[in-house]
Order: sequence, then C-alpha cells, then structure tokens
Amino acid sequence: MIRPIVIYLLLLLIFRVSGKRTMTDTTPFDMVLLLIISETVQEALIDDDHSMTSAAVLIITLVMTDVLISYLKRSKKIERMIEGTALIIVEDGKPIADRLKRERIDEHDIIEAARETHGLERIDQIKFAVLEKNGQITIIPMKKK
Amino acid sequence: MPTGRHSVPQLQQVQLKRIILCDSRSPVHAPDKCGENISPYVEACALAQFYMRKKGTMEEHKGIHIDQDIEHNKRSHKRRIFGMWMFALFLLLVMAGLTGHGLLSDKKMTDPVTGETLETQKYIRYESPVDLIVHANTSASEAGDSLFDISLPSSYLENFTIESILPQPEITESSNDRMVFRFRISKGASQQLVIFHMRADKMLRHVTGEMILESKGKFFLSHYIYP
Repeated sequence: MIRPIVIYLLLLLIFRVSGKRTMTDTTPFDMVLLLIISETVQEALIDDDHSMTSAAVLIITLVMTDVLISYLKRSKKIERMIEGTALIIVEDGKPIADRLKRERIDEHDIIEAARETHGLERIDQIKFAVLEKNGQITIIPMKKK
Repeated sequence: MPTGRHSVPQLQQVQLKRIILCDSRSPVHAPDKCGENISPYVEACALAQFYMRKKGTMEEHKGIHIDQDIEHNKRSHKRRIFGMWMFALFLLLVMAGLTGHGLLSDKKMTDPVTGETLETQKYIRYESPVDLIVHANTSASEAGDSLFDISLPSSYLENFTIESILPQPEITESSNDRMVFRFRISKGASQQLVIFHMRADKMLRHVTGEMILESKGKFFLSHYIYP
C-alpha cells in the first residue's frame, strides 16, 4: 500500500517540477516516453506479485489517494501548489516574453493553438492567450471590427 | 465587476447559495434569505464579486476573469528550477554510486594479516543483485584438509536471498548464529576465488556483519539498502 502512494507522490512531484507543458504536446516521442514511464512505474508498483488481490489493493490505493488529493485541493493554497495557476501569455496581440520563457513556450506554440481553435493566421489577431492549469493554451481572438 | 452572464464562473448552485447568502463574509450576506431561491444570474454575479474581493482568488484582467497570480507563478518557476537542480544533483550522485555501482559504493577490502581481499558494494538497491567476491588464501588451511570455510552471520544473511555461490560449497551448515560454507579446494592451490551472488530482500536498512575466513581473515560488511 505504501508503494503506490510513494510512486503517486513521486510522479506528482516530477511532473510538477517538469512544468505544465511537458505532457500536453503529445508528439510521437512523448507517446513513447509515456509508455516507458508507465512500464517503469508498473515494475515498481507490482513487484513480483501478480495476484488479483495485489491489483485490487493497488487500484484502490491509487484511486483513494487521488480522491484525497482532490479533497485537499479544496484549499486554494494546496490547489495552487499542486496545479499552479492560469497565466496570460499574449495580451492584445503582444506575446509576454518573460512569461513565455518561464513556461518554456514559444510563439509557434501559441499561433498553432490559435490556428487550431479559431483559424487565426497571425499572432496580432489574438486578444488573449492563456496558459491554463492543465498546460493547454486557450485563445481569445480580437473582436472583429 | 462581472460584465455579463457568460463571464461568470460555473459553480455548483448549492455552494453558491451557501456562500453568497449564508456566509457572513459574503458581500451580499442575507441571513433572512438564506436558502431562498434566487436567479442563477444574481447568484453568479454575487459570487464573482465575492471572489474578486478575496485577494488572489480571482482576478479580472481587461474583461476576463482568470485565476492568475503572477507572483505565485514567479515563485513556482523558481521552485521548479530548484527542483530541476535537485534532480540533476541526484542523478550525479547516482552516477557516482550513491545507489549502486560507482566510486562511492564499490569497496575493496584487504585483510592486513592474510592479504585476502573482498569486493562488494556499500550502497545497494532492494531486489537488485549484489556480489561478494572473495579472494581467499587457502595455503593456510590445515595440512591434509582439502576443505576451506567461509562464514557469515545469520542476521546478515536474513536480509538477502543467495541466488548462487561459485564454486558451489560442499557443505552448508549453521553453527552459533553463523552460516558456514565449506568449499573443496584443489591440492596445492594457494588462492581460491569465491563469489556469492545475492539479492537484497529487505529495504531501507543498514545491514552489517562480519565475514570470517578459515585463514582467520576477517571482513566487516556494511550495506545500505535503498527502496
């Protein structure tokens, strides 16, 4: 029971430290990376015990840990600590350079999101681009005159 | 102030009512109306006001409501950089042998009297293999005796599974809380190489014990087992 909790918290820490954008852009390489991580974690979680009891204990422990964390996230402080906050990265068509650098995002990521969601062609057509807590970039286009 | 119905966050009705009417901190606190049905728009506007008054919970930025906190983001970035450095340091220590093979972990001990040697690792990982490589001096064996003993404390061996011993011992016996492994040696041989292939069974502990050879050579074994 301790093992899945430790692994859960370790993964939480690793993904928090690596930043929001680590796993949002799923390129083929990221897919492979995810598979390797899941395989490694599986080895550490189940050890040599392949029984159904072990699987049940493991799944229940992980789900209960997740539920507990979601309860803890009711506290704004803890929620921010675990998930961070949203961040405006483009304002009135102008990218905010220091925020982009901090979050390891470049303008191509933003214009790609703008193209995908609103069919925009240029960055100056964006009123706001927001880096959400889940790492996605949401676009609010300029109002058409 | 909210600019329209669509700019207000979607929240549970029950939670809204409790906050805006029953909570004394709410800007529209109305104990007499607590539990009364009011329009969702009024509820939502009140909640938005309530949140905006609480510093840092929700910010209105040029017409959009956003849970943004630049200072928190900067602090968080610094923590992430620190975390990355810690991970890098950890990997360097791993490469140096803090959790297994490496400069910090690999030990070669020599008995000053008999000149016998033992190679092993100080830091090992749970379920990972660990070897005890003994270069024993068999010339000191009793005359005519073609057997050579190596003994290890039972309390030490309790922490490991012995996967194999090369060469295989002729006899294995327990005596006085120690496990004695008796090897056959060829006549006239002055050196004998013995390898214990083991696997750590317990974790998060410091395991110590003394290996005693028939030639009176002694080695103090000390391992730390990581999870």
